[in-house]
Amino acid sequence: MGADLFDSLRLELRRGCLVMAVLAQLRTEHYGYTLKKDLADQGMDIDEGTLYPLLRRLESQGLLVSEWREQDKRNKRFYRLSPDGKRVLKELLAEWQTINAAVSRIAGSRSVA
Amino acid sequence: MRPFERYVWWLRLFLPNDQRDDIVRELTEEFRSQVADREEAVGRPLTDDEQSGILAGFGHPLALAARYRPQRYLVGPVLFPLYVPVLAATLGILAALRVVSIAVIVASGASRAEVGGELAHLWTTAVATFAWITIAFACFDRMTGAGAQQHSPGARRPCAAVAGELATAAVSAALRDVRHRARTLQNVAAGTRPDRTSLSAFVVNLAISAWWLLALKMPALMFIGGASTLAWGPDMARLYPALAVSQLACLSRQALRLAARPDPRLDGVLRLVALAGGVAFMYLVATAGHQWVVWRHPGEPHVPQLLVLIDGIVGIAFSAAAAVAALSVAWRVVRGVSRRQMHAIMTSVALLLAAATSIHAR
Repeated sequence: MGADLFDSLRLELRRGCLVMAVLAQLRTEHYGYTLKKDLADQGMDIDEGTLYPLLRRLESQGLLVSEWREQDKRNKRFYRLSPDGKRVLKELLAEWQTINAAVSRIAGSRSVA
Repeated sequence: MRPFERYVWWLRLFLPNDQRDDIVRELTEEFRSQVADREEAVGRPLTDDEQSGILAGFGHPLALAARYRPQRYLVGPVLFPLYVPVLAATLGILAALRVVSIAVIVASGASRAEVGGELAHLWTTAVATFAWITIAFACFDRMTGAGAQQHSPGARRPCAAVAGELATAAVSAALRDVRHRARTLQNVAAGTRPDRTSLSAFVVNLAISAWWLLALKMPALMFIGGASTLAWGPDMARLYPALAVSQLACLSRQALRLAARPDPRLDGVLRLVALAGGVAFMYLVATAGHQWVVWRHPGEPHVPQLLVLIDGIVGIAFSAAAAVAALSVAWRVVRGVSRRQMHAIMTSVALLLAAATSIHAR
C-alpha cells in the first residue's frame, strides 16, 4: 500500500475531526491566528489554507458568527460559536463518542497488527 | 514587489468578487501576526525568503482561492452514473451508423476526398453529440438540484435561465440545419445530381429513424435491461402518430431527392405533411402532461429518482426538438421576410420555450 493512499485516507479521517475541533475551540472567542496556535498546541495542526476557508464556510452555514474588532492596535476578525453552532457541536460530540466507542470496541476485539 | 504583495496580487485574481476584500484583509492580518511573532523570536526583520516560507503554509494562491468557492461540477455525482452509459451508447450508435455510411460511400465508388470528408464529419458529429449530451445533463443537474450538495445554497440557477440557454442552443442548431436544407433545395431546383454524401446521410437517417420509431413501441430497444421496470407513458403514446408521420415524410423527401429528377409536386405534398406533423408535434409537446416515462409497478409506493430524471431528460429533449420544429415552420411560413423579423420570431420562440420549460420544471 502506497504512502499516497495512506495520506488520502488520513486526510479523509481528519476532515470531519477538524470541523469538530474548530467548533469546540470556538466555544470561546478567537481570531484566526490564536485559534490556529491553540489548535496546534493541543495537537491539531491546521494550515492557513485550510483554516480560513473552513471558518468562512462554517460562518456561511450559520454555525459561527464573526466581527471585526481592534485589539493591540490592529483590526482582527473574531469568531465564536452561534446558538446553532452550539447545538450542532453538542450533537457532533455525542456522535463522535458513539463512533469512537464503536471503533475502539472493533479495533480492540481484533489484532490490527 | 515583496513576496506577500505578490501573493495577494495573484490571490485577488481568483477570489470571489463579493468576498475578495474581506478575505484579503483577514489573511493580511494572519500574515502580519506570524511575521511579528517570528521577528520577535529572531530579533530582526525577516528576509524575503523567510517571508516566502511563511506564505508556503497558505498554499498556492489559486489553490487557496479555490477553497473559498463552492465545489462545482458540470455533471454531479448523482447523474454521472447515468451520464456515462448514455454518452457511451449514443457515441457507439453514431459511430456504427457512420461506419455503415462510409461503407456505402466506398461501395458506390467514392473518391478519397469524399471518404475523407465523411471521416471528418464523424469527428464533428461525435464532438457535437458529446457537447449536446453534456449540456443536457448539466442543465438537468442544475434544474433538479441533483448536485445541490455540491453547490452553494445560492448556486442553483433559475430554470428559465437554463431553459433559455437550451433554447438558444436549439436555435443555433436549427439555423445550421435550415441553411443546410436551403442549400440542398437549391441543388434540387438547379437539377444538380445528389452526391454520395446525400446517400449516406439518407442511410444514416433511415437507420436512426427505424430505431427511434421502433424503440417508442418496444421499450426494450430504448431502456435495454431497464425495460422490465420502465415503459413509455401516455404522453409518448399521444405524440407517436405525429412523430411517425413527420419522420416518415422527412425520410420520403430525402429519398425523393436521391432520384435523378425529383417530382416537385410530390416534394411539395411531402413537405406539407412534414410541416403538419411538426405543428402537431409542437402542440402535443406544449400540452403534454409530462408523463413521458412511467414506472411499471404502480403498487410500488416509492417512485425511484431515476424515473424522475429520465422523464425530465425526455421532456427537455422534446422541448428542444419542438423549438427546432417551430423554427422550421417559421422559416417556411415567413420565407422572404427580413432578417430582423426572422430574428424577432426566433427570439420569441426561444422565450416561449424557456417559459414552457420553466413551468414544466416547477
